Amino acid sequence: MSVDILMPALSPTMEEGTLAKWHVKVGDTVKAGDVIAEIETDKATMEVEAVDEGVIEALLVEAGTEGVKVNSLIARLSGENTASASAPEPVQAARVEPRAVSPSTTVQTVLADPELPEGTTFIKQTVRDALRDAMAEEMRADDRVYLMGEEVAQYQGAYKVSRDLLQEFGPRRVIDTPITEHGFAGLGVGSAMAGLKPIVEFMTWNFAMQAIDQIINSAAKTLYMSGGQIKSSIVFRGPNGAASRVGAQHSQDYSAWYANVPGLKVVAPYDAADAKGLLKAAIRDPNPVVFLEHEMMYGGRVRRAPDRRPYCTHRQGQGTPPRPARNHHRPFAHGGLGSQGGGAVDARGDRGRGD
Amino acid sequence: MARARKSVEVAKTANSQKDLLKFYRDMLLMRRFEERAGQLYGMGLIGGFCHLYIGQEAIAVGMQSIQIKGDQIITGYRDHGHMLAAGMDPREVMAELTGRSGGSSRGKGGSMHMFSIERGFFGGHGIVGAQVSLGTGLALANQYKANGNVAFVYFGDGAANQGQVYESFNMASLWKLPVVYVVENNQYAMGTSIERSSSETHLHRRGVSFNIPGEEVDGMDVEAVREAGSRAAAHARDGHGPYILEMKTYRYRGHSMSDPAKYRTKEEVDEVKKTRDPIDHLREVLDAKGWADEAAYKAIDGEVKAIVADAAEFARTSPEPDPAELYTDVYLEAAQ
Ligand SMILES: Cc1ncc(C[n+]2csc(CCOP(=O)(O)OP(=O)(O)O)c2C)c(N)n1
Ligand SMILES: [Mg+2]
Repeated sequence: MSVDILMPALSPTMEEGTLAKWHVKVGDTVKAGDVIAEIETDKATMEVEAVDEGVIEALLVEAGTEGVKVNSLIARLSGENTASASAPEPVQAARVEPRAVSPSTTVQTVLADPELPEGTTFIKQTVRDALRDAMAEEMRADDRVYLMGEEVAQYQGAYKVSRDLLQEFGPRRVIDTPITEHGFAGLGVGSAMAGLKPIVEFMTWNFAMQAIDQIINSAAKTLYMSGGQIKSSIVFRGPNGAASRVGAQHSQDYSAWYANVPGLKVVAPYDAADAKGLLKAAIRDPNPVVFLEHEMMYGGRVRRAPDRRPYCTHRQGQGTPPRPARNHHRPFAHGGLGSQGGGAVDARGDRGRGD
Repeated sequence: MARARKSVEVAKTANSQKDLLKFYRDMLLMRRFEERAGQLYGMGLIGGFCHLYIGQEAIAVGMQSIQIKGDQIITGYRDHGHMLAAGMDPREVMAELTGRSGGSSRGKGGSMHMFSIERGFFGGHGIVGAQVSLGTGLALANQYKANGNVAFVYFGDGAANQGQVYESFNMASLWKLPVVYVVENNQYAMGTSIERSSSETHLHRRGVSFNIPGEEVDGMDVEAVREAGSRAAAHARDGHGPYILEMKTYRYRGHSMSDPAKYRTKEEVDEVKKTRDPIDHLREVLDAKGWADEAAYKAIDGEVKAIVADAAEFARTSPEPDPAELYTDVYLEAAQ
C-alpha cells in the first residue's frame, strides 16, 4: 500500500515554500530519520525526514519548484511498511557568506505619487528585505546606529529580518542578547541617553511586556523630566498583532497601548515602501519610536520599495505619532491588520495584497 | 576615537590634607543643604516626594573623587547629594526641588529627576532598579565608543531585589562592560529592613553567579569609599568588566518626608549618629593629623552656610515655570 508524502508546514504562518532539493530518487529505500528533501521558505531552510521505512515510488514535484502549497502531494512511498514524512524540527538558519547587503534587482517604473522625489523608481521587494535594507542603509550612514536583540546576529533574525547584517557590520554593531527583554531594553535606552542610536528588536512585541517599563518610564519620559536635556533616539521594533494560530500570548496588538503614551512615536507600516521609508525615518528620529511590524506581512511583496533615498511623509505635531506614509488603508485597519482586511481594500478599489 | 585610559588605584594613606579638607567641606555642604531642603518642605515650598541623603554623604563624595572626565553617574530618586557631588550649582538643585524654572530640569523633574549632561549625571530615576539597566547601557556606550570611561551606577538595598538588576549584571559581565555598581545599603527600603526582604543580605555577594567581584565597604568612611572605589574603577576601566561595591551606610531621616518611623527605634538611629557619623569621623581623622584647627572648621562652616542660604533664596524667588512648559520637551523636532 502506498503512502502520500505531503508538503509540510514548517512554521505557523507558512502557506507555501520552495522544494529546494530531493535527497532521494525513485526506487531508493529509506528508513526513519533519513533526510529525503530540503525545503526553503523565506525564513529558513529546513530538512524533511522520513519517519518510517519504505521505497520511494514517485517524486511528484521537481526540485527547485517554488510556491509549493502546504499539504500538497510531493511524493509517494510504497512497501509493506507504512512510511511517511512529517515536519521536522527546524535545523538551522541558512548559512550566509560575508557580503554587503544589496537590494533585489528587478527594477520597475514609477508609481504616480506626489510625495516621491522625481525620478524615483521602484523595486519589487518583500517587507522583510525592505526593513533589512532600511537598517543596513542607516547603519552604513551613521556609526552610532546599532542593532540588538535575541537571535538578531548569528541566527540571522528569528524572522530573518536582520539577515546578513552581522556579516556586514560585525558583532560590535549587531548584538545577540540573552533572553532578557527588561534588561536589554534598559541597556538600549541607557546607551541612547549616552548618544548612541540603538535599534532594539523584540522577537515579538508580546515579549516587550517585560520591557514596557523601560520603554515608557525611561525612554518616553526622560526628555520631559530633564527639561529637554536627556534624549533617547531609539527604535523598538518587531512583529506585532495576531500571527497564525499561535495562541493568545503571542497575538496581542499593542498599537493602541503605545499610542497613548506621550513622548513615544508609534508607527505601523503596511507595505514594503512604507516599511523602508518609515524605518529609516524612525532611526533618524531623535525621539523614541515604537515600530510595529507584522509577521504575516514579512514575506509579502505588497507594494514596491523605492530604490534609493527613502521618501517618507513625516508629518507630526506634538503628541501625534507620525502617520504611515500612505494611509489610504487606515479607515478600517493598519499595518499587518490591513492584510487581514485585504478583501475589503480590494472592494474599495484600492490595491490589496499581492504585487 | 579616544584611546582607553588606564586607571590608577589610590591607597587610603595617599589622601592629602587638601583632599581631606575638600571631602569634609563637600560632605558638610550636602548635610546642610539637605537639612535646609527639609525645612523648605515643611514650609510648603517643596512639594511631592523628597528623599534626603543625610547620613550617606561619604559615598557620593568618596566615589566622585576618583572619577575622571567623561565618566557617568546614574542613581535613583535619592539624588540631591549625588548632584552636588557631581559639581552642580546648588542653586539649580534647590530650585528643582521647589519646582522653579531656575531648576536643573526647569522645574519639570522635581526632587527625584535631576540631570546634567555636562557633569555626566544621568539622573534621577523614580522606578526602583531602572537605573541599573540604564547605567549598564551607559557602560555599553562607553565600550562602543572605546572612550575609556566608566559608568558608576548607584542603587539601594531594596533595589537590589529587582530582576532587571540581575539581567544587567549578566550582560555587563558577559560583555565586560566598564561599570561599577555601588549598592548604598542603608539597611532599609522604606520601612522594610534588609533582613525582612533579602535571602542573601551580603549584597556584595550578589554578583557571584555572574562572576562579578564584589566587596563590602564602610560607607561611613570617605577614605575607605575612595580606596575601594578606585580599585573598582581600575578594574572596570582596564577592561575587566563590572565590579560591585556594597557600601554599608545608614539614612538618618525618614525614607521620604512622610515616614511613620515605626519600623526602627530612635535608639538605633541615635546610636549610628553617635558612633558612625561620616562627618564626625573625618573630623577625628583631621584632628589626629593636626590638619585643621577651629578656625579652619569655622571658615568651612561659614562658606557652606552662605552657599545654602543663597541656594534657598534662589529657589524661593525663581519664577514658576510657564504653564506652556507642560507641552514642551515631550518630542524633539525631527530633522527633515
Ligand atoms: C518599581 C518600584 N516599586 C516601588 C517603588 C516605591 N518605592 C520608592 S523607594 C522604595 C524603597 C527603595 O529602597 P532602597 O532601594 O533601599 O533605596 P533607599 O530609599 O533606601 O535609598 C520603594 C518601595 C518605586 N518607586 N518603584
Ligand atoms: Mg535602602
